[in-house]
Amino acid sequence: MKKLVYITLVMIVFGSAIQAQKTSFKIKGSDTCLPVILKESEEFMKKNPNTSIMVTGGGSGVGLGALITGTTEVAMASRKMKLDEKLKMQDAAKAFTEKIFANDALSVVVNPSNKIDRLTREQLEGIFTGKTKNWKELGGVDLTIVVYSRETSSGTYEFFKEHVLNNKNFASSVLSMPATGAIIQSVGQTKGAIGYVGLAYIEKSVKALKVSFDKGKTYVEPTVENAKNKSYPITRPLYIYYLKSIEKTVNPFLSYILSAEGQKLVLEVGYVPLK
Amino acid sequence: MKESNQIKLLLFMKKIFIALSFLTCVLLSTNSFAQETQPVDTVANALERIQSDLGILKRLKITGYIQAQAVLSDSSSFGSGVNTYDKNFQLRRGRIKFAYQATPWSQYVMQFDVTEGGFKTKDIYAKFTDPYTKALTLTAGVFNRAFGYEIEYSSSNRESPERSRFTTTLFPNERELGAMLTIQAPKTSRWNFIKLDLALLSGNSIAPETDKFKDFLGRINFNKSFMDEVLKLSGGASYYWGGNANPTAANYAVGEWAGVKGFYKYDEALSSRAIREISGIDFQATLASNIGLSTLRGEYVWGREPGTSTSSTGPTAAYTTDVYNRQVSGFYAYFVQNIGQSRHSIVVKYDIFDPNTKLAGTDINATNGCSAADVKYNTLGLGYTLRLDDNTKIVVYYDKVMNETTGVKGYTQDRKDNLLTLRLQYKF
Repeated sequence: MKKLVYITLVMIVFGSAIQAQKTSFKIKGSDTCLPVILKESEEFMKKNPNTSIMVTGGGSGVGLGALITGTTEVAMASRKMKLDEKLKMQDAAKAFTEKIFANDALSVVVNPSNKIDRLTREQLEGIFTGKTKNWKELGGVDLTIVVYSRETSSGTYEFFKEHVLNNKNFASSVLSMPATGAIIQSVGQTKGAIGYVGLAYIEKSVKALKVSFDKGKTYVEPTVENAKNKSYPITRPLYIYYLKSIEKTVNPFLSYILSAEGQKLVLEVGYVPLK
Repeated sequence: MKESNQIKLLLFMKKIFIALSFLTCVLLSTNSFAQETQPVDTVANALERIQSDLGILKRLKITGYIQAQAVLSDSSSFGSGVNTYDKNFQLRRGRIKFAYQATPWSQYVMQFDVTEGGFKTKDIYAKFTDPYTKALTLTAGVFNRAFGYEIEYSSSNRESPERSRFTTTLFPNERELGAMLTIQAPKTSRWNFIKLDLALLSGNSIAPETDKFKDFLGRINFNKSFMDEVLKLSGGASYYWGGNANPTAANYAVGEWAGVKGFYKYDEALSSRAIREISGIDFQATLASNIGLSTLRGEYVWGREPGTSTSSTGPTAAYTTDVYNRQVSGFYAYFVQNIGQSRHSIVVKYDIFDPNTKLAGTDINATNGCSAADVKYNTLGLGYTLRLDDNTKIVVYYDKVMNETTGVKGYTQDRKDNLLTLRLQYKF
């Protein structure tokens, strides 16, 4: 009987020790980063069964906001943390680390039935600011342009506005979507639609356009190769922000993402590896 | 025969068994179906109810902070009469704020200050944003005056224990009763970095209206980041015009008669307006670098401020004695440096307030109508902040207060009124 009690006690202590080794953390933020971070975390958890990572989207602003309020330990973002957000982090006594883990080629997508396959930056500005309303104005068929965009909390929204629209206003008729997946679905189902997404989201239901940032001299397709050789003009880094207080917990995962294997997954998902 | 009866009995029992089994299965499956569907429905209903309740609760935001502090003066500057002392414990602020927002377009805000000194109302206002243009916001009630930067900058975030002397003197309570129209393009606009505030105010701070005169306040400011979120610049220009009724026909202003500078009486119509006119410019810069976030803020104000013979403080009630008109000017500069990304930051602050720019030194004396209300102050502040966690911080701050040497009793030399403040703040 005594032996049984000892064995039970040893098992409880041993079990608790195993339980104690289990680590978990949350990652929240950019929808652009979501597919690649999900894939990375799945693979990482397979190799490290004692680690539990919960990944959710919502937009870069949402993720960074959650990092400030303490509802997530790691934020993923398709834009750099703003100075106002840094001030809030400082006020909340939260030290953080910024890491770039991949690059993205921001892609303009249309419905596959659309004959247009390339546009200049100026033409894109015309479409998204509401000056150009019909595809026939751009050499296409007589069809109203239906413009899809992301919500203002999205890093992709901010990047597109800054780099493609030269900070001009989106037209009030632009339809704001809560997630990148919704843009893909809407563009895929609407003949006259146009939207913008991260490279990894491109699939058969949409057509990615070649773009020109030199007023039509050269048009470049959004591909990993073109982003890597920097010929594609709308590329941007993707960021991970994490609290320094959980550095030890997060570091193995980050090392995995930045490893050759992790960067291979970046490529597999459709983004541009760092090397 | 017996055997065939037994077989029949067995077959009958088998049929009964099969029938019972079937019935049991049906009953069990029905039961299990009930067990599966009812809880699911219940959970779904409960979840819906919780989501609905949570939605209502999320409309109400409750925030607040407490600042408990010990202040050490280099003389017995606290208390009054024979009962003066040089160390003072105080609950400087005990704020609780309720903000209810049912739609993105409207908001109701109440803020109170609860300390050992009593219960005070700070903010009570309603806010409505035009949902079509999203660029026009109307605020009505008691709210912060949109003048300069320091007034609206929360005491919970400010690095020095108190606002600058000119702010607390010219704009007591920071708040005013009235209505304000804010014009700012929505976030999606490239013009979102510019904001214009236009307000009509009672002119009595948070006290009830006492005359027919309404004051005007206007402010335009900008806020923009540069160099890929490395540098943020903001600034603005403010203008206040108004004043309260003269309670007597006698007014005083600074002049010179037979080589003597001082306050001189002039006639003004009874109940006419004692004009209050203050202009201001402000500038803020924040830079992110390897040594941490560095912030520089500055503000300069000038204008004319009616008061009494013994006070240059902005009005908080109707004047009851002859009005003394003064030309005023004030300035402050803060430099705040966070040490890397650590919990430590330091601040250096310098502020100047001259409540009577037309008189200086020994020209300020009782015989020409002056008082302590005319004495210029320069204050150098040095502070250290330690953030203990998300909610708690400790502030250690030293104020070196320097008054000008005048002919007014008690101000013929620099007074011993330097202060050391030790503050613990909890914010939620």
